[in-house]
Amino acid sequence: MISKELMAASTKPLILTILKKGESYGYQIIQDVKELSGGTLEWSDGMLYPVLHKMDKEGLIQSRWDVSDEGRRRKYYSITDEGRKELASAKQQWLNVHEVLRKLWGPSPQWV
Amino acid sequence: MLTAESLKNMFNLEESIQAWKSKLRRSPAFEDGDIAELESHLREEIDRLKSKGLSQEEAFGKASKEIGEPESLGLELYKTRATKVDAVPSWKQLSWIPSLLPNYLKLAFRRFKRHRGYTFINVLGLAVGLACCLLIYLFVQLEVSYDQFHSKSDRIYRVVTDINQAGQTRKLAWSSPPLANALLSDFPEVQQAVRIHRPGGTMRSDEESQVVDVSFVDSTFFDVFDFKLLKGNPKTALSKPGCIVLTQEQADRFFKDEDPMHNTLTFADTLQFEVTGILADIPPNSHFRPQFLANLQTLPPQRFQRWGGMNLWTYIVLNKKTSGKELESKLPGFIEARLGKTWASLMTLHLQPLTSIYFNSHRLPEIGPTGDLSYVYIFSAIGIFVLLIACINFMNLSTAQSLQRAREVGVRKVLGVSRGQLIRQFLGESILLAFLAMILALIIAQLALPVFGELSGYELSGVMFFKPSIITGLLGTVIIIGILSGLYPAFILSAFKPSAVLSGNVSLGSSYLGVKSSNNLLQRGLIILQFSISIILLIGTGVISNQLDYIQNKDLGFNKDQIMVVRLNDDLRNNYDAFKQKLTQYSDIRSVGASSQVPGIPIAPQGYRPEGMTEGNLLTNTIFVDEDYLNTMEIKLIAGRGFSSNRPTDLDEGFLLNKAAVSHFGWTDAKEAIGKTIRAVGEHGVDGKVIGIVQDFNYESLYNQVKPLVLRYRDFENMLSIRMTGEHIRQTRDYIEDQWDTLRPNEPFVSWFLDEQLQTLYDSATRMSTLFRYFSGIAIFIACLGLFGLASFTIQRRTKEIGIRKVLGASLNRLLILLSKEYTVLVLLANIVAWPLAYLVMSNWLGDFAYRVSLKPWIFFGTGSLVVFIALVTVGFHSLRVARMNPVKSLKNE
Repeated sequence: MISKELMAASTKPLILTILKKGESYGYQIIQDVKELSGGTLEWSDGMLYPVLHKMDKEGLIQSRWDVSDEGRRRKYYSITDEGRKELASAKQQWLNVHEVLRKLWGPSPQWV
Repeated sequence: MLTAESLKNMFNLEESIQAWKSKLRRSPAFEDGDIAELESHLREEIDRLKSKGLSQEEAFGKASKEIGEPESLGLELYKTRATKVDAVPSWKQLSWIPSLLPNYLKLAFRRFKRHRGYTFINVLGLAVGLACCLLIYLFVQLEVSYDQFHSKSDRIYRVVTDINQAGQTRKLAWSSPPLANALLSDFPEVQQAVRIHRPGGTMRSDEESQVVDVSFVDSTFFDVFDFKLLKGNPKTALSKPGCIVLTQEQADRFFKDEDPMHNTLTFADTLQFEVTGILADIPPNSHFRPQFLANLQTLPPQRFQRWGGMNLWTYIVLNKKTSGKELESKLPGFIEARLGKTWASLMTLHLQPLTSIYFNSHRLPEIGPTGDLSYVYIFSAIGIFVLLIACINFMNLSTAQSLQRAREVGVRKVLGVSRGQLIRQFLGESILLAFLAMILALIIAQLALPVFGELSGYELSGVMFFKPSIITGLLGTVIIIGILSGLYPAFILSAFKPSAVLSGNVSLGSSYLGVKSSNNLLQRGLIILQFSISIILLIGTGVISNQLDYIQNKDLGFNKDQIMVVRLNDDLRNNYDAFKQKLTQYSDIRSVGASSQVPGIPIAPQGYRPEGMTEGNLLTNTIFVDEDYLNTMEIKLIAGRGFSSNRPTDLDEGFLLNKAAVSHFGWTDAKEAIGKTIRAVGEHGVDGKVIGIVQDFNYESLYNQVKPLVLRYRDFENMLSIRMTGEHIRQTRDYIEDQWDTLRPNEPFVSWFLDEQLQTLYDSATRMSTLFRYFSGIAIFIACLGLFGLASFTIQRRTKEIGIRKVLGASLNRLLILLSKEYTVLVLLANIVAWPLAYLVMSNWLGDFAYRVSLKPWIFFGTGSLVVFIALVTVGFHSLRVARMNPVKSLKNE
């Protein structure tokens, strides 16, 4: 399981990454995350939406209503240029953190 | 295949989703888009779960659970929109108190200020009503708690005696002196007993001499009663003959600055006392109010040996298990066993519970003043009525005023205030107003206390109203009044449809209450009720003062004016001729007569056996007089002759009767009675002849018919009645006192004017009259205050109508009639309600008097017209103002 704080910090880059591949809607995003993480990332489904709305408000993503092929109304989200910039910067930060941790947790035993 | 079952399931799912959505909608955080988005999420998840083989119900349950709690979801959504980081959504704030209360208070006070007039009228009316109630509560509280301060009050009984003779029963409060000891020895359930014997006489110290009553009591007095001693030990203070206990007031009088303890007092020239205690103030609600308490054994024991010589009050304490009724049922057997059959038929004993003596004794002689329960009822009723009038005012005014607030209600509703919140706001406001009234009422009551003390006859100056107990009670009352009076406007107003009110369609709003607010049935009914009560009180005032006038001026059968009564002391009693001689020489004294009693003081009866009666006797009131008494009092002789000093046989053998006594003794008229023989039975029985008949005169009060009376010549006279010319009254009085002082230099001079003494018989009626005058004034005042407020309100609403009427040519008079008509009709109706009730109540009150006025129609008509007039003036003030307004002005606004 992943801690609440880490979840909160990672949600934004996760969503942005998924949306970078193409337009998607809330339910699909959640399914993608679940699939990719193999169930280690468990969200309360509803909690995704406040985050989406917040990112929408911040201009990282944009939304539109559409009707799907099955005739279901869906709110589609897509990434904006702003979002791409944010993602790039977030990606760099995550990688930096990852690099440091990897080094620390590497072969040298005295750090363990 | 679609089976009925699956159809039902399908239906269930949609239902569940709708229910789930409406649950979300209830939280203010969700907006429509949010809910649609979540719904589509829910449906996709359900589809996925169903494809995995879950039933619809399971799928819905799991999916909705995965989405999470609407509560926390809503909070998160709210945060995405909030501008402040730690903002708390409005619907999450605690109850209704915090956010809007300051606003309510601000608005309420702003409104009070803007409508200063109405608010003042409203608060003042209620405050006066509440203050009246407070004072009356105080009075009633004292009245109904008589003698309850004794710790054994529920076990103390007074033994009283009925004497049955010749078919008549005389109810005495006294009992036989040996009774107390007999009861103690025969009945183990009687734990204690105390006797009280109270003669009057001259009390003397080195400093002072006064005529006083001394209560001679058994040494058990302080075991039975809980009167407190300031000095001295209650166990020993009355244990020995010669001990006396007196109140601080009397101690100050007789010993001035000296220490009263162990000082000496002399009573009736023969008895020496040593002061062994100082009695604390007697509680105001005690039926027995002793000034002096002395040991009974100080008096010669032969006075207290005869069963027939009833001369004292007996109080007993029963054990906890025995009731008074139980013991009472054994008493006839007890008398028969002790005294034999004759006594048992002659004398019946009753037990009066101590706490019922004040209201229910109706026996003579009473040990202290008694009360009248009907007085308490009338008082309470008046209190409730006045409060009722005040509450009605409060309600009517609040309701009328609230009509103006339709728009405020509309705006509040549009801004999302719920009905419950509105109701709470209005109720809160009326409670706040009532609370203001309460504070004012406390102040008024405290200020009015001295006046009220005089009215009720209690010493009340020490009472404080600002006490927690009273204020708690008041607060409760105030909240109830606030809620009751706020309820109507609160519910009506909060039901307004904002769209209707705000689109200016006011008639819709006011149609709930009627365009003219007084059209409202409830309001009209209340006004009628208010004025009915006021009219009843006013008629009461009229009838009572009418009756008092009548009493004052009724021909009593003697002339009560310009008579001064002087009390003779023991040694002057049979030796007053020299004193009388001196007095008659004075130019402003017409004549002087002596008698054993003067009118207005209760008389002890004696037994008489008229000629032809073989056994038994007839108890008849008796007064001993001298030869000048009839003349002095101007009592008319209608047959025979009066007493004469030239006929010494009159002393023993001459009786005068009043007219009532003639038939009492079985004779048809005065002529027949003259010359008949009567035997006065008793210790000094004599035979006498009837020598004359006098006109009936009211020697008791006008509450009673004149009772049969025997006048006898010279034996126990102890009062001189002095008829003055009515001029130089002061000098005459001084002359009489001077003569007294030269004759008996060390004796206290006690005198009073007969008409004043007689007046005290009607003290309670006089008090009632004052009371009615005050309270009917207050009732009318409050009712008019309400009418004033209401009328000004209604008429203001009709300003435009009046303007149009004026433009169309209505005259001032017509307008005045138009505006005043509806209220006049109400007050007239109130008269119709009030008259029969007032008639019933007042004829009942007059029924207490044997001699009374008839209920005169003019009192009813007069009162009715007076009230209509007052109401007209009240309403007319506003009517005139509005009717005289320039129509240009009244029509141009907005």
